[in-house]
Amino acid sequence: MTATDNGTALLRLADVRKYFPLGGTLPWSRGKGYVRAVDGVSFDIQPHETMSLVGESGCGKTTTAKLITRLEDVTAGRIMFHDKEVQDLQGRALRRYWASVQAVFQDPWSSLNPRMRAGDIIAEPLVVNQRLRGKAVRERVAALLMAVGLEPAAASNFPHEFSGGMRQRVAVARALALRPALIVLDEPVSALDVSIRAQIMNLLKDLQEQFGMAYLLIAHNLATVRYLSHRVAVMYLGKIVESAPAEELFINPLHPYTQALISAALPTRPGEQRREILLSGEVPSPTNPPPGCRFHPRCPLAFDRCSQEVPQLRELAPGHRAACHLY
Amino acid sequence: MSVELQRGETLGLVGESGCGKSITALSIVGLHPQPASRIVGGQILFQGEDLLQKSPQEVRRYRGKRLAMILQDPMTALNPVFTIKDQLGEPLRLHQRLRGRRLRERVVALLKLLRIPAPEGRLHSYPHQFSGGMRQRVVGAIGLSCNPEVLIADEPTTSLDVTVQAAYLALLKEIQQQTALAILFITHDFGVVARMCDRVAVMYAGKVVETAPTWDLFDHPAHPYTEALLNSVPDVRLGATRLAAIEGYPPSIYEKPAGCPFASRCPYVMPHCQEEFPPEAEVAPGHRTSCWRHA
Repeated sequence: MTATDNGTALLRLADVRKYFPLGGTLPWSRGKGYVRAVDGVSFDIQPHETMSLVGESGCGKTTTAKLITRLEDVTAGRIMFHDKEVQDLQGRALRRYWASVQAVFQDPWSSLNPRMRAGDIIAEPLVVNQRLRGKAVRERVAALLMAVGLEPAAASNFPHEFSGGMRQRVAVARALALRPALIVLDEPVSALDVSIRAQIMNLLKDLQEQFGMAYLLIAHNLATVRYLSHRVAVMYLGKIVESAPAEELFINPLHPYTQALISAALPTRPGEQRREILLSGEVPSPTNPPPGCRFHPRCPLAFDRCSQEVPQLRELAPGHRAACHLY
Repeated sequence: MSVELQRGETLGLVGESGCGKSITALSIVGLHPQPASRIVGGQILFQGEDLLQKSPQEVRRYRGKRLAMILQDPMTALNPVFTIKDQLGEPLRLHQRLRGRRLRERVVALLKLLRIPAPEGRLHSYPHQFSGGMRQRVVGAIGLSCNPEVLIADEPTTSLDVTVQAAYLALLKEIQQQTALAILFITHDFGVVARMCDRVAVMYAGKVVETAPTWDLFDHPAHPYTEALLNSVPDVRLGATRLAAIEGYPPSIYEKPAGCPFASRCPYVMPHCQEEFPPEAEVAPGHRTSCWRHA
């Protein structure tokens, strides 16, 4: 299932920027510059596909997710959902948008209200958005619990009575309740135990097949990304440096940062023959990003032009884009 | 549980949260929470001497000097109100009685060893002025400050980014080759084990269920838990069509299953498994497991 860019995108981001002002919020404490968390990001998400954003902490992947779920407002650029601009939505239209774009967060210990029973947590979107009551709610909750592999009787349990994996299943059931077109998965398995991760990854795959929603997966673990994604975009310091169909990206990474990231992923077997590209230093601050290509101070292949000119994202093979002066 | 660690060797202690791997580490250095927990039996032998027979004062002389520890989260392992020099200098002042210029020189040398750029200018910085990766290097420098013989590293890279993690592990390996340091590496990640360890001990629900040389463990896992765990990890270099997930959940620490703790999730379970914990059996040289299939 490889999606092509043919105008049927579910969600499209065009040159999206998010700058957070530094300093206080009062007029006289402003003007100390900006954190350029997301700086000119464009991509699209097709229906039924899993699009992934990978990158290290501070690269802007979570901010991008917050912009898409409209928990934050964009500074510049456009986010289009079915050709409606998300930034302009208000009132009922915004609530309808929120119903069709749901999220599952990293930590199921803090994303579920400890004082609500699992059934009420899952029922809340149904009650608020669809105004369901009584038996109708209970039936839907039972069906959702079964869909995520829990017993309907689990509805009366509190979050603390579940293990991490079960809690994440409850969070997934809540995201599914309104049958959204898109679910944002922000590090959905990284807080879980190793033996539980595969369960949740398989569950997410099965649910996508069954219900047909698209996923925006945000993760730093490349193995997770490869396993779940159809397409992948690699972010570095607020910009997309490379995007490609998942298999293509992992077999033939073009950008030096993607190559380093893949080579830094830990081996699955001891003594695996591979070339480890060790990057020096750490990700620079997004307040004052390096000129030219943002990766050039750490790039083993950088040359003069890299520090002067910002490379543009260009299509180098069908569906495979990279922003690098090497090509 | 029983494990042993040789000089210059890296032993991986692998398991999920709550399996007891961190408590094992804390018990070795005598920092397990007291009085909430106590060691009810057994021995912790360090070069033939039982650390459990020693008084807290005597253990204190070992801890930080010959037995050092690196903790998981550099955000909480460092004290936010003391400078890097104060914190890195503390074990040197206590154990090696260094003062003044010699102390300062040693601190700078350690920061250099851990590849912190421009260490002279950073002595009076506070932890919040450092990035996560640098903070973890400072924690590492504290651990290595008195040239310990044993280093216990409790998930030192879990909170780091992928590229920073790769650099940290490479550095630790390099330092180990120079100093013949023995490392007990606690982790839940088989990737870290494959990268770092000579031998592995796999823990499940408070027990070591398998010990083996790293190669042998990956090639011929003997315990069903190890086998299932290895199969459930996706590989970046190979796309998988479907992962073999382990069904069910680990038992809670309050339940004490009579037999093998993995029996309820084990695909090979036999009636006897529920009744008695299997004895340890050697399946290959240096490769031991506790499973009735091999008993």
